[in-house]
Amino acid sequence: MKGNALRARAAAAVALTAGLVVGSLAFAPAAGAAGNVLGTKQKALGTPVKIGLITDGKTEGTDNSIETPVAQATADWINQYRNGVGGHPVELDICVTNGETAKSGDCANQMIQDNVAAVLFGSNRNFQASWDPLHAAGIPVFSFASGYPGANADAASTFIFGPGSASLMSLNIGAAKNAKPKAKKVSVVAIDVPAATDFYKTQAPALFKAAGLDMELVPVAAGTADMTPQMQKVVSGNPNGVTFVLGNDSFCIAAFNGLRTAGFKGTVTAIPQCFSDATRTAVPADFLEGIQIAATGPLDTPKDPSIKQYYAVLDKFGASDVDKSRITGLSMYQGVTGLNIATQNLKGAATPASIIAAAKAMPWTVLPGTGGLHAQCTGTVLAGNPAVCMPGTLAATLDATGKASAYTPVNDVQPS
Amino acid sequence: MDHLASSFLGLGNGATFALLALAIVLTYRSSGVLNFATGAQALYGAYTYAFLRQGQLFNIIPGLPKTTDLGGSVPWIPALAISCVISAALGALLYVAVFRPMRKAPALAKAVASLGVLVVLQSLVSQRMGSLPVIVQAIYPSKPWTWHGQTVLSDRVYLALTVLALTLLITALYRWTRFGLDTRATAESETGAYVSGLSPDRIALLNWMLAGTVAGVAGILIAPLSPLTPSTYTLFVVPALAAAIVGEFKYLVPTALAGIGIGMIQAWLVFLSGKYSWMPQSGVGEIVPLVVMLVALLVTGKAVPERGSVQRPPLGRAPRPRSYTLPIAAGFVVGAVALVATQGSSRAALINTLIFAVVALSLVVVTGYAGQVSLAQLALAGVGGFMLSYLTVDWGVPFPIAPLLAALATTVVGVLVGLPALRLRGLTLGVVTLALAYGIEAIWFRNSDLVDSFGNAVESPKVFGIDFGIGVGKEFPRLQFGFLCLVVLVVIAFAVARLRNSALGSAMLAVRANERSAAGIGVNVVFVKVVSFAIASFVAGIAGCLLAYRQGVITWESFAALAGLAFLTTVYLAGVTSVFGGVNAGIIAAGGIVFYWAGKWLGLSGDWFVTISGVLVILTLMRNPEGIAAGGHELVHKVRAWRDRRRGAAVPAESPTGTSIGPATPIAAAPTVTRTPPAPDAPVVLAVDGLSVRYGGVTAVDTVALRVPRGGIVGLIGPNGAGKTSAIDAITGFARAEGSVVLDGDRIEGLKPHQRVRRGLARTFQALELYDDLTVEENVSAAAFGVRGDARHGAVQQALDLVGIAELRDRHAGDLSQGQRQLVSIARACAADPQVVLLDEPAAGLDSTESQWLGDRIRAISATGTSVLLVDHDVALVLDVCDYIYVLDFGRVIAEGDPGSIRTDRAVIDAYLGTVHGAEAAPS
Repeated sequence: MKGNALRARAAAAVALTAGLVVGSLAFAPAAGAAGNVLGTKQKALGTPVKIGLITDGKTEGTDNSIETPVAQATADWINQYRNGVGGHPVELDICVTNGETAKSGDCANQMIQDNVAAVLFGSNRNFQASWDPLHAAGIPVFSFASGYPGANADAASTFIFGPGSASLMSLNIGAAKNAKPKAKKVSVVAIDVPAATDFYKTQAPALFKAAGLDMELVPVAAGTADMTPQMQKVVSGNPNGVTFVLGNDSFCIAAFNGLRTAGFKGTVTAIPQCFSDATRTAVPADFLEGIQIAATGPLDTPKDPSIKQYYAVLDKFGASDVDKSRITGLSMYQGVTGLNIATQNLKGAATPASIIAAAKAMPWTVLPGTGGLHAQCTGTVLAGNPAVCMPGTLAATLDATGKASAYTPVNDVQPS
Repeated sequence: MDHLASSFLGLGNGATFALLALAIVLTYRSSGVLNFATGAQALYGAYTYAFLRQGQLFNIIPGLPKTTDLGGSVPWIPALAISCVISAALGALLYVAVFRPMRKAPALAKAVASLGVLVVLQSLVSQRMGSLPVIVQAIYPSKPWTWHGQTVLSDRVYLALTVLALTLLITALYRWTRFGLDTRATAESETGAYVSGLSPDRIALLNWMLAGTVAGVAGILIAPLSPLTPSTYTLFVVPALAAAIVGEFKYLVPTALAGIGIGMIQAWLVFLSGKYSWMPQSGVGEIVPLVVMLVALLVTGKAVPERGSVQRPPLGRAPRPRSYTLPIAAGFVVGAVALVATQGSSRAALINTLIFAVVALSLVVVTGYAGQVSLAQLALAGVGGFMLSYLTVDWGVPFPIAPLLAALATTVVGVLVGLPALRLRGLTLGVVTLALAYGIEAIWFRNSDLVDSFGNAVESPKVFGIDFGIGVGKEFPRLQFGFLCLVVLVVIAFAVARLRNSALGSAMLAVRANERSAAGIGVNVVFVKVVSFAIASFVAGIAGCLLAYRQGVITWESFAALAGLAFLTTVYLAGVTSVFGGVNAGIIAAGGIVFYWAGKWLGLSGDWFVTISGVLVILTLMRNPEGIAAGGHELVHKVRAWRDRRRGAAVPAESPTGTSIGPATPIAAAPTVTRTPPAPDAPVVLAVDGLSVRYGGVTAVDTVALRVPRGGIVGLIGPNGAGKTSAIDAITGFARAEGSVVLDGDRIEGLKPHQRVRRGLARTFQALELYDDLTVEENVSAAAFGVRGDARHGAVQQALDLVGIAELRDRHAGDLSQGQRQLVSIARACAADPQVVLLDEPAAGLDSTESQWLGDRIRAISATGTSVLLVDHDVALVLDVCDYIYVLDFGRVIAEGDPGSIRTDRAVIDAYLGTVHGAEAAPS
C-alpha cells in the first residue's frame, strides 16, 4: 500500500509542479442575492438524513472542541439555506474520540450501527483507525484533510476537500523556486511523531528530488522546551534555503523564535495552524513578515465574502462565541459544506450509495469558505489521489502583523 | 571546539531539567516522596506568573472566576515574588492535605499519590485555561551570542547561571543554617530527630514549601523558552529524574550539573545528526536520560537512598488464593453473562476491561509478587502489539502462533528491561523502567522509520476458518472476540494465582520482602528477578496483542510512557498484590466499564473524569495505602473465618494488628531430646581455614580456622565486636573474605550465597529477616527449593515439626512473638534439609525458659544428622548445648575446646567469660 501511494504521490507532485498556477483570481461571490450574506433560503424539506461526525475534540495538548459547534451551526445553515444533503436535512450523530486510538475505531463502528448515510471527519489523530471500518462498510467519508495515504488513494467512498500534503509540496517547491537566489534545499521541522514525520521520511525526499531540491527532516521530540539546538542545525545545514515548519501554534512559536535566534536568512514556510494570536504576540514582527503559507481558506481577510459568510453562519446558528480566528473551525465548516455541494444533485433517498453516486457526479463547484476554490469529486482532480476533491490551495505571504493581506489561488484548475 | 559550542545550545533545556530535578530532590530528601507532580507545581507557578504579568490573578479552583483583574500589569519582580509565595503555599497545601497524612505509607504509595496530584493539577489548569498557549515575556535580555558558528541566546546562559546560583544558595542554606542541619538530621533518621526534640513534621512542611517555591521558580524561568500549555512540563520529568539520580536524590550540585549536562548532550547529538547522515533521526535525544541514569547507577553503585523513617512498610500483603475453581468459574460466568448482556459501546468497554486486566496482571507478577517496581509494563504491551503487526501483516504468521511469538519477543525485551533490577530496587528501578519505556516509545513506537503515519495495522485473528476478530460495523464488537479476551484473562488469572502458590511464587515474595534473606535461604535472587520480568513481559505481550486486535491499528499513543504512569496508578489503586486487584484494575481503568458508565450515566467526561479520578486516587491512598483490593481481601478473610466458625473448626485467632499470642504454647509442648555427640573421628562436614574479613583498614576476622563435624553442635562465642557475625557472613558468602570454606569436601568460597545454601549450608540472621507478610508455612516453604508438590509439603511439615511450630503454620510471621519468630527463622533454615545450619544469635530476645527450650530444639536438629554452628551471646545456652566451642576475640580464635575446657580457660575468662563464669560457677 505504501509503495503504491508513493508512486501516486510522486506523479501528483510532478503534475503540481508543472501546473503551478500563479495569478490572481476574481473571488466568486459566495453570497446570494439581496445582499444576504447567508445566501438565499432553500430549506431541505425531505426526510432527515443522519450524518456522523467524528472529531478528536479535546485531547492532551490540543483542543479542537470547537469543531462540534461549528459543524452543528454549518449543518443547520445548509439545512435552512442550502437544501441540506440533496434536499434531506442533516441530523448530526456526533462521536468524540479525545484522540484515543480505540475510541476512534469505536466511533466509526458506532456510526455504522447508527445507520448513518455518511460520516464527516473533524480533526482526527487516528484517521486510519476511524477510516478503515467505514471504508469496509462502504460508508462515504467526507473530510477537509487526510494525511493517510490509504484514504487519499481510495476511489470508492472517500472525499477529501483539500489537497493535503500535495499543496504543501507545491508551497515549498514554489518558495524554493521564487527565492532569490533560488533555494536548493528544504528543511522540514516537524514534531517527532509518525503522523507528522512519516511522509517526510518516506515519500517527500523523492518528490523534492524530482523538483531538483534536497530535503532534510529535522524532527523535534515532543516536550522539547527550547528548540535552539534543532534550529541551529537547520541554519548550519541550510542557511539560505527554505525551512518549512509543520505544527500547531505552540510548536511553531518555539521553532520560529529558534530560527530567528540562530540567524536564519532563508525563506520560512508554514501551515495556517501555526498562527494564532499567541504566535503573533510571541514571534517578533520582523520574522513573521514574509512567512509563506498554503491555506484552504482566506481566514485573515474577514472582508472576503466567503469568510464573511462563515462568520455569519456561526453568528446566526448558535456558534457565535467560537474563536473565529482558528483555522480548525473554518476547516470543519469546509468539511460540512463539502458534503453539501457534493450532494446537490442527489435524487431520492439519501443512502451511502446515493451520496457516493451524487458526489462522483458533482460538477466543478466553489466550496464555501475557501475564497473561491473549486471542488469536484470525480477522482481525477489530483492525479494519483482519487479521494481528493479539491486540487487548489491559496498561497499567501504574511505581513508584519502575522496575517495574510491577500491570498492567491494555486492549482485551482479543473482537469480536462 | 565546534562540538563544545554546539553543546552550549542545550543550556536552556538543561537548565529546565536541572530546576525541576532540584525541586524533586528537595521534596524527596525532606519527606521521602518521589514527587511526580513537581512539573505540575511548576506549571501552576508559571501560569500564576504569566497572568500576573498580564494584570490578572490566575485562579485554579473550579467554580470561581478563572482570573481576577488586578487593574494593570504587575512588574516582573513583584510578580515573581507573589508567584513564589503562591507556589510555596501550594507546596504547603500538598504536604498538609496529602503527604503528611501519608507519611507512614510505603514509598510507592506516596509516589502514586503524587501522580494523582499531577493529574488533578494538570487537568484543572487545562479545564480552566484550555490548551491555547500563554506567552510569557522573557525575564533576561535575549541577545544572540555567536561562538564557533553556534548562536546561543544570552538569556539561556543567564538562566543556566541562575540555576547554578540558586543551587549554591540552597546548598548553603542546608549546610550552614539550623533549618538545613535539622533537615539533614531528619533525612538520616526520623527516630533520631524525634529523640533530639526536632519536629520532622515542621521540617518536612518547610521543605515542601521550599521545594514548591523552587518548582514555581522553575516554571517561571522556563516559561519564556516555550509557550505555556497545560501539558508543557509533563514530559520534562524523565530527564529531571535522571538528573536527580545522578545526585543520588540527595546532592544538589551534582543534580543541577547533571540536568544541565543532559540538555547539553542532547544539543550536541542534534549537532552530530546534522554532521553525520548515518545518525538516526528519531529518538536519539530521548535516550540520553536513560543512558545518564544507567551510567550514574553503574558508577556510583548506589540507588535512591532509602530514608531512615520511623516506619517503612512493604507493599501490601499478597494473600494466597485458597481455591481456584470457584473464583475462576464465577469470574468466567460473570464475564460471559456481561459480554452477552452488553452490546456496542458498552461491550467494547467491557472488552477494554478484560484486556486492561491482563496488563494489570503482568504488573501483579512483577511488582505485586516480586516487588520489582516496573513502569514499563504498558510499553511492553506495546512491544507485543507492534510485533503482532509485523508478524501478521508483513510476515503472514497466522493466529494463534503470531500472538504467542509476539509475546515471546516481548519476553526478550522485558528481560532486557528488567536487567537494571539486578542492581536496583524499589523506586529507583521504577524510575529506570520509566526511562526505558520512554526510550522504547521514542526509538520505536514514535519512529516513522518503523511505524506508519497513522499506526500499524493488524490482521484479524482467524483459525480453522473461525474468526475471533472484533469485527467492524454492525457486528462490532463481536462476541467471539469478547470470549477470546475473557478466556485469555481467565487462563492468565489462573496461572498468576497458581504462581502465587508455587515454589517460584514463594521465592518471588521472599525476594520482594528481603533480598538478602532470600539469598540466605537459597533463593537465586537474580534468577527470580529475571524470571519475574520474563513472565510479566509475556503476559503484557499477550495483552498488547489483544489490544492490537481490539483496535485493528496499533499506535504509539496507546502505549506512551506517561500513559504507563497513569496505568500504574490505576493498578496500584486497585491492588497490585493479587489477582483480584488486577481484575479490579481492569474494571476501573480509563476506557473500561466503570469509565464508560461514568460517562454514560453520570455525564462525566473528559477533564472532569480525569480530575475526579485523580482526587479519588489521592483520597483512597490516604485511607488505604495498599489500594482498594485490601478491603476485598479482608472481607474474604472474614467470611472464611465466619464460615469456619460455623463449621466448628478450630481457627487460631488471627490478629492483623500484630499482637503476639505469647511463646508459651509451643514451649510447653517440647519434648526433651536425647542425642549422642559425634565421635572424635567423625567426618568433618564444614572446614574453614584462614578466614579473614577486612572492612577498610579494620580486620574484623583474622585467619580463623574451625571445624564442624557431621551431626555436631559447634559453638562460636566472643564478646561484642569479636567478629562472630562477620565470620558467619563470610562463611555463607554475604561478606567478602579470604580463606577457604570446604563443605563436605568441596571448596565453596567462590560461590554466591544462594549457591552455598543449595550445597547444604543454611543460616539464620540475627535480625531474623522473616517475610512478615507471608505465613509461617510460606516462610518455610520459600526455603524448600528443589522439591515440589507433596515432597515440598512434606519438607515444610518436617521443618515445622522439628522446631515444634506446626500449629503456627497459617499465621503471618509479622504477627508472632519474638520467640516464635526465632523458631520460624530456624525452621526456614532447616527446610531444605541442610548439612550444616549456622544459627546467628537465635536466643536473642528469649528468656531463660525459652532459651532452654531452644537448646532442646537445636539438639533435635542435630539428631537428624544436620550439623549446627551456633553463635550466641547466651553463654549458658552455648555451654549447655554445644559439643565443641570456638572463642573469638578481636577477630581471632583465642581458645577452642569442649565446654568443660572453655569454662576453665584463663584466656577466655579474661577476655570474656569472667563474670559469666563466676555467676555460673558460684552455685555449682
